[in-house]
Amino acid sequence: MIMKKRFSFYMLLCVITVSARSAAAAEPTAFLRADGKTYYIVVKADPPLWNGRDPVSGQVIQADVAKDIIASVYQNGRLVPTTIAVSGTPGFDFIVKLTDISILNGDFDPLLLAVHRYPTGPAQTAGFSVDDVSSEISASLTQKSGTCVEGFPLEVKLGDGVLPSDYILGRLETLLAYMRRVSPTTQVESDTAIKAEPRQLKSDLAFFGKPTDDKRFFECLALAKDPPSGTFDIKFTYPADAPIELRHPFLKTDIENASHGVTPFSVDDANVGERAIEENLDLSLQFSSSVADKTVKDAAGMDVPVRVRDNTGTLDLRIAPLLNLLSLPDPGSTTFKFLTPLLIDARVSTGKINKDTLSLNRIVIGSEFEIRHYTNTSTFPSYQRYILSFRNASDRDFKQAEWKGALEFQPVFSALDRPLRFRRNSAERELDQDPDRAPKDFPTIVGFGIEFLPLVGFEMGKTWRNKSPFAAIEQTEFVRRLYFGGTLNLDLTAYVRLSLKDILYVRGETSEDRLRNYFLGSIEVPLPSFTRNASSNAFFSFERGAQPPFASPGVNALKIGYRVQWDGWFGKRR
Amino acid sequence: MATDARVKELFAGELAARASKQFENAGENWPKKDLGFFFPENENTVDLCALAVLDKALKEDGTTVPKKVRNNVALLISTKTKAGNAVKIIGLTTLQPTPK
Repeated sequence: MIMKKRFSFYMLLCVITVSARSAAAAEPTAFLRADGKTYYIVVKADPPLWNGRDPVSGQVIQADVAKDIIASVYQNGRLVPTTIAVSGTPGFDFIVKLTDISILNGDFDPLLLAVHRYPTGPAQTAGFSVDDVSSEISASLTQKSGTCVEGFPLEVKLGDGVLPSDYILGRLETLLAYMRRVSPTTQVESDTAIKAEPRQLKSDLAFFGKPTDDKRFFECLALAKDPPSGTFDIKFTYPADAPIELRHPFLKTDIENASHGVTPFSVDDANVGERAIEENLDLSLQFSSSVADKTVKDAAGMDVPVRVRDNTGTLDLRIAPLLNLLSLPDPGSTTFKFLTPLLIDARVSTGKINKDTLSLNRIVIGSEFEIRHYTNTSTFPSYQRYILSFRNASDRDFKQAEWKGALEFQPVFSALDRPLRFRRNSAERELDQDPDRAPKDFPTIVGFGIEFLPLVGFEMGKTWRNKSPFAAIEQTEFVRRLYFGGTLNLDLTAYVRLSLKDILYVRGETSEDRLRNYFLGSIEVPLPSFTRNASSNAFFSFERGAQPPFASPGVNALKIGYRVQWDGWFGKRR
Repeated sequence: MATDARVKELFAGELAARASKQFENAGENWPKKDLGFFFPENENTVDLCALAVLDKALKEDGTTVPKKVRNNVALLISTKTKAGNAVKIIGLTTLQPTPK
């Protein structure tokens, strides 16, 4: 019986829909409205409802056209009790009052309006249906904003294509007043937790936007406690008797709360002072215990080998409390400034300082300032980098210290900084024609790319404190060094890359061997795969010359290599 | 009052001026593109474009936002942000605190 009723209900809807669509450009609309505890649907018919007057004489020939309107409201296929009246609201033809308001309790199911018949003239009728009758005002969680970074903006605004009216502006004010008074309950479900857990919101939630001026506003729903790290879902739910626009729960899924990456196990063992400062704090403590053969004097003064255990504790520290002290460019400016006022790069260990442990006992303190000025902000920008740095290096006990200052200029020219990887093409997808899905971007394979990054710099430094020089630590000269050169990368299609780097050093610290050059050239060629389970490439590089501090002879090295990776042998993988 | 539609116009104008070829290539789909499509591998030029749109929208409204809010916008918008989402972020940021 129920099946039969539903079948005839959908047949009826089909007939109404077909008849409505056959009318020219019919666009009837219906919205759910509230007036206190009264709920009704305002309906704009197209063609419009007959006004009861004779089209020729203008005389009223039918006083009550509402009695000729036959309309039904359905929820989940069930008929909802209603009454019909001609609308007094400008822009709408009639209203359908919902006499059973219990159907709108909580997260209610959508309503469907079927106008089976309404008069459009003295002897003319039409019909139509409107799926999912909803409010003219929508509320939804939206993008974060500059004023709501930590919270979740719940935006209340006019629906698509809805024009503001007295009712809508009044309704926005009603919703604002309610949301100021009542906060939703909040649940958070982390992808790594078994169950969802309740969370408290901050007590003083901020609102932005003025309903009368902006025709929208949003509440920044900020949690009192930080959300879980990793990926999580969050749901905000207002009470079941909230305004109808707020009765459905507001769910946002797969929110990424990026936690700090996993701390690497190994310590960056590059030279102190040359390591990148990318974190506010990078600290490690190590304890090592090793046994080694050493020679000691015995009672007779003879050297005898003994096995000695050596225990060493090492502190490795990189700290920059303020990675950048300066703010973004002012409006109209295209100059970025970066200032790291204080950075410490240190590695100190227990035990005596000698030649072997020298690298374990260095402390570098300094600061860095960069001006990055953009003269062209296009896809391929032109900019100039001026980097000024000052660093002081000393041993663990601050007995011997040296300073070094450097100024470097790195211009980037738009015409000479166009690597092939910057170029991407866009095309519509062929298999999935979903209009909401972004078109695919694919890299440019054939073409020529160039990347030329010149640099020029000057550095100087000197040992300035020498209280108790260690034999293992050589006192540095007063270093004055000018250097210039650059890196040239050429993409000869996406399959061949030629890279050339050359820097010439003009040394002021010595009258002999004043000019030193460093060159590194390489060619990388990804080779075609000979099977789908393998990839390979070939490379060739040539390195010649020396780099600061020029303590060791220059290199002259040629490298040719071929690398292949292949898996899936015998149909097995691991 | 900067509506999302107005911010979208301003953003389209900035992209057309700063990354004309990419903007033309994206066509009607430009809001669905990551900003890295228009400014590859450069967060600075993304920041300059987004802040130019924000500043223009605020100027039209005759309002301002604190420096911290501008910084937040630059933090929220990166090369990985879709242009359409950037429009929404800027549109919401132009809204002033609701008077109590």
